[in-house]
Amino acid sequence: MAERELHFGLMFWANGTHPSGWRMPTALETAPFDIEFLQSVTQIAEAAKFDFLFLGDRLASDPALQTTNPSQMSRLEPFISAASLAAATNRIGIVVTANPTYYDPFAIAHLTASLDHLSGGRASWNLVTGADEIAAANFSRDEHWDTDKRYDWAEEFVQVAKKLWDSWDEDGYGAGPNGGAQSINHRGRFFSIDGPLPVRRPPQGHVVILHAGTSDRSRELAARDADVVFAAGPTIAVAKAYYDDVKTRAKKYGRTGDQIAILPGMTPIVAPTTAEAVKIYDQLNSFIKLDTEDTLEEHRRYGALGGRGKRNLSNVTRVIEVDVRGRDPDEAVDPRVLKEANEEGQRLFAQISERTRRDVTGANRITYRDLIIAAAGQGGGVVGNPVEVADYIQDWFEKEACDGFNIFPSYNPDSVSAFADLVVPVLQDRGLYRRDYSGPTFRDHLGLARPANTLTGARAAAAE
Amino acid sequence: MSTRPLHFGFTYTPYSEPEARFDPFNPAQISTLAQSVEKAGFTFIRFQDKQASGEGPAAFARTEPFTTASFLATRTKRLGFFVTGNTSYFEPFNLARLTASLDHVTHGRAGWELVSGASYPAAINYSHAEPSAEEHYGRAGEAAEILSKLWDSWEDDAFIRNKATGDYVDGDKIHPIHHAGERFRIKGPLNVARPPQGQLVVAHEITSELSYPLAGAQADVVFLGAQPAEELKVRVAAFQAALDAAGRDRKDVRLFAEATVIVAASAAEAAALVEQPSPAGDAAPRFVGAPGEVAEQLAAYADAAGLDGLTLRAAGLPGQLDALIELLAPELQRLGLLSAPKDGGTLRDHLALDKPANRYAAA
Repeated sequence: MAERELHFGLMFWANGTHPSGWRMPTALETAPFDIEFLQSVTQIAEAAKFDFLFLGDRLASDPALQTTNPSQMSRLEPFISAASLAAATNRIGIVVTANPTYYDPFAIAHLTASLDHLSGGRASWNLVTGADEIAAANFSRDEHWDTDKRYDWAEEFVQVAKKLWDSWDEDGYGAGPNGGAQSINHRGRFFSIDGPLPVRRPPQGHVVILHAGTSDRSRELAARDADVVFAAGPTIAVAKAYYDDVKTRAKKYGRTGDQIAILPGMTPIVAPTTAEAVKIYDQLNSFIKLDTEDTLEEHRRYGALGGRGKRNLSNVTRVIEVDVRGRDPDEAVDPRVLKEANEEGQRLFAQISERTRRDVTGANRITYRDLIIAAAGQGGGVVGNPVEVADYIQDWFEKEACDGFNIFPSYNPDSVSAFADLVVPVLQDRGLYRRDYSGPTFRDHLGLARPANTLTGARAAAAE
Repeated sequence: MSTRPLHFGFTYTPYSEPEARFDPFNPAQISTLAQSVEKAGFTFIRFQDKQASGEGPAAFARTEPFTTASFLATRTKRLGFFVTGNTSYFEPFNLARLTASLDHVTHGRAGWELVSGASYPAAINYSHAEPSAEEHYGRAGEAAEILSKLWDSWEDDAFIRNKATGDYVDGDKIHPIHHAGERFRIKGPLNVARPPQGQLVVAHEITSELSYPLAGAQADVVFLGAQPAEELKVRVAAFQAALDAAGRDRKDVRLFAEATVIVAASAAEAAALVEQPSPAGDAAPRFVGAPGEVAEQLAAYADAAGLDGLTLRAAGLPGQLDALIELLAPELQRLGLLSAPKDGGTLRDHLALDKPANRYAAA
């Protein structure tokens, strides 16, 4: 087995993954619809030999997103972005999010196969089943399906897509009456599809499949069908348990652990010195608009709309169970608050100290604003100098809590450039990360073989 | 006489010449093709699509239109893109996202060819029974209305993005559409900013009697098909009646017919090429000859029915495209029939169509 190697994806939210990243002085606020800018950022990631660029998607907009996730409020449809970014790059993999709940398998197979041809084998499909309940109202439906229905549907959907990708021979253009194509004649529980696709088999055979999620159904789908798994890992212990679980489940499906790359999300806030990195962290969070205070009863979760609660002292009071309402957000926290805080509060204080190198008694003090941001689950990341950030990555990687990370850039393009210029060379010098791509396709970056054609393989076997 | 200069489109038909092996899945080859079409002064390229391959997939083997157009837009500057989006098999919300986004990526060079399963049946690939032609057209008409509303659902100045104040959008300029029709219920708004053209240029091809009312109500560009001049006149008259019924004006619509062209340096060489079967079907008129005579035939064809332009097909790739570009296009330009669009304009600009006002904007 080849030596393990780190894999990196770039979570490409054009206005930054930090809710106020677009307000940073060097950020381009008009980025979401500026395709030339998106191309230039993609080229930075490609020069840093990233495995892939990740294009997320949602099927509805909501005004509430403007303070929590403005990058998700309104943006380019991912297949359209992806095809343009493919035209402006040569090597980097391109992940497109598409939700089977609101699409047909023929359309997705057609779009992804086409993107794989146009990109020379760099296409990937992020299969999401979507917790986006408000999407139903944009698709003539009364309600969003429940989890089981969505996964039952998605499981058959992905099998159909694979058959459609296989419905043409590798070089089957023009040879013979059907040019090497054949019907798939799928008759399943949800789908009845004749095929074939009007597109030759993709250069990668099957486009790379990415999946994210922590539920049991999600882990099972990942273990069976995903090549890349995008996981949330709040701590190394949680991430390690998830990693082991998915790789063990994969064995049931005749797969080996190294056929699945598990990449948690990570937000690096890196600068040449620790102090400069903390300054960026503080600057980003200074731009977050705080919510007006509410009564504790009025509190509501944003849920899928991002963040874990409102950015105000009422939310802090609810989370840490110490009444801090009425304080000045920029005032240093009273040490008594730490002493009286519940377990979650203790965890938040520790997290803030880790990020800011501040505490409640020393020269640099934690502020109420720090607590507000942390309690809302926003504005975080791994804050430090290049060696500190590289150490963090190496630790997770060597403990097999992950195979790499999906990098969240707080603001663009600077967060991407900083990671590429400062952290990537350290990891390369340590022999953990590639200095160049080993091949032209996304499968090559992941060290994955091109799958055999299940349809024509079966036909060849039958003929023998 | 019709408009001068005429508008020219190129209909992408990836029929390889026997020796050449034009490969429609080779991104470098299709990039070169689009760049050549642009260089020759064509206003747009038309990418059609089928969601099923009834007569054998090799006959419709090509990359999918939306991804192809976005890819090629990145490698061209002026060329417009008409992309087929089939309302029988795609949800209107998804089509609205694809089309609006394509218009952003192309900086306003996108057109949507409204197509239904009536002309391209594919229910066998979409897990349901084939509906009647009336149902296909009914769905197409309602979907076109929905796309038009969704494109308007963000006003042009809905984004504030003021770094100093932190205001990102103006909520009063983002509009749910609350569409509740016979077949669709769509709340909106879209999650894509208003397209640069406001509304994409909508095209529809006349393929049956049911096409007229749909085109009359919805289309900015009408493809009348590859028909003899006499039939074109009949179609233009029928379309005019549908346009009148919809209360729209002929000056707001551009009419195109299709012509398959076989050009060579001399008439004799062109005649020798005619043996190849026509991609448009045997009954379709073809224009064969030396550049000068073909240019004049094309002008006469457009004039006979008072058309605004023609879409040309090359009888084979890549040789007949080269002939079209190197031999025919200069001749069309010399005769004042073809004038290359200027850099920087939108497809609407190039077709002399106005940018529509936003239906939701306060007057």
